[in-house]
Amino acid sequence: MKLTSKVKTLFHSVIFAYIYLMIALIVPTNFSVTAPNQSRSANTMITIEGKDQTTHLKTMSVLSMVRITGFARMLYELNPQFEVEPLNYVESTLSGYEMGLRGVIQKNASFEQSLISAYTLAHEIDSSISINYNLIGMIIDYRSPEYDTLRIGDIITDVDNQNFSDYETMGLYFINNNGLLKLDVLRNNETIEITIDKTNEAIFRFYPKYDIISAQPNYSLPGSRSNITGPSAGMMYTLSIYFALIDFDLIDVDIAGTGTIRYNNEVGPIGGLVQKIYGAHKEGINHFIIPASHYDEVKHLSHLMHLYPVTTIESAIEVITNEILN
Amino acid sequence: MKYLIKLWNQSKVVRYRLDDLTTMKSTVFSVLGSLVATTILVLPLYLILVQLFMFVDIHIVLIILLFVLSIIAVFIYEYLMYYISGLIEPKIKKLYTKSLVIVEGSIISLLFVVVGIIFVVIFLQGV
Repeated sequence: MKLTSKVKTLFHSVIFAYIYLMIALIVPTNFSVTAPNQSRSANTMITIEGKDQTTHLKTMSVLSMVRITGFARMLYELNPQFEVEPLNYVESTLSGYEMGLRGVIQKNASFEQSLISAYTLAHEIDSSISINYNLIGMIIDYRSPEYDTLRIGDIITDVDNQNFSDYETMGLYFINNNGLLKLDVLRNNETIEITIDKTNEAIFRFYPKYDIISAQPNYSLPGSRSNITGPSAGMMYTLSIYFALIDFDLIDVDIAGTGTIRYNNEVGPIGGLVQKIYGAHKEGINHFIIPASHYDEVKHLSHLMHLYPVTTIESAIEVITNEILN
Repeated sequence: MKYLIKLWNQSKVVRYRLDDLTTMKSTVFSVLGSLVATTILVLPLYLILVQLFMFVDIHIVLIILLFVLSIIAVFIYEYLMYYISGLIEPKIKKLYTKSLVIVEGSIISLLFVVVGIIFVVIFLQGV
């Protein structure tokens, strides 16, 4: 094969630049990025059958990627709305598959908890609304790498044969006790027994896992097919379901929000709040409900829109009915 | 239409003559060589475009650019394949392989576009 001198010169000249470019484009770094995304109506994720569910309650998600390449890091750092930071401890100890699995576990947990919280609150107003569920156990969202006999996604159904009936007591027992713990674990629909030697340094993170037997009125989960994962839309799902259940149809402005819904109706912390506020601002949304614990880190953005810090789902309902709609 | 029919007939003739002039070994060599060369040329652009998907405002533009790049990649692959075949067997250089590049490139790109559209529709539904 004959190469002309021009081709040879070109090859000599660009080969190093090409190799450097490919290294920058392929080799991952220990950095992650969070970027603004678009809003999505909460009623596209959970639908209550036979109810007119508002489209004005919006969930805000972010785009995030771990182990970005050098080129991507350079590119994303140019944009002030992006947040590029070193991998945190959890991200650095998990594989890409495990990170994806966590996202799905968190999304399903927020579906279950928001349904239970919203139906329970609506039941206080209309007794014909009801939900029947059982606690299965605690689903593992994260565990320190040294406890690799437990897998992310395992459901702990009992600890030391205590026969717990509620999530809080079970969780507190697990957190407060160190040493050998005998766990009944549900994995791939089979119950196995695992004993761990738990220390003070151990990091575990759980979500409650429920079996929702029936609900009146019925619901469907179109969002389970969505690529959107994570727990941060729990509060908005709960609000969307609650207002649909009580036939509250006065919401006529777009209201975005973010925050997890916890077993005790508290609104829990989330990540990427700055990016979520930028995303909402781009779409012209003027009202944003946030967890109170995050207010200090975003109060400098309050010139972009009204920010409403809340601690519980009840206070979020009050904010919508008494502040935003007034 | 006349031009297309002529191009189609021309490509069939060139294809028959190519079959006589190429061996299995030369075909494998030209296909693999062309694949490697096309990948080297197009991969950096693909990787840059994929990393730009974090910018949510330009998703549609990026999807269109990925389609365009895929179609360009198909034609580069076809061109290089017959170019390498010509280097192995000089008689091929005298054939009008351009007609084959256009016909085969168009068919493969059409297939890519159809598969791509299905993929994009599924992707956008899930988002």
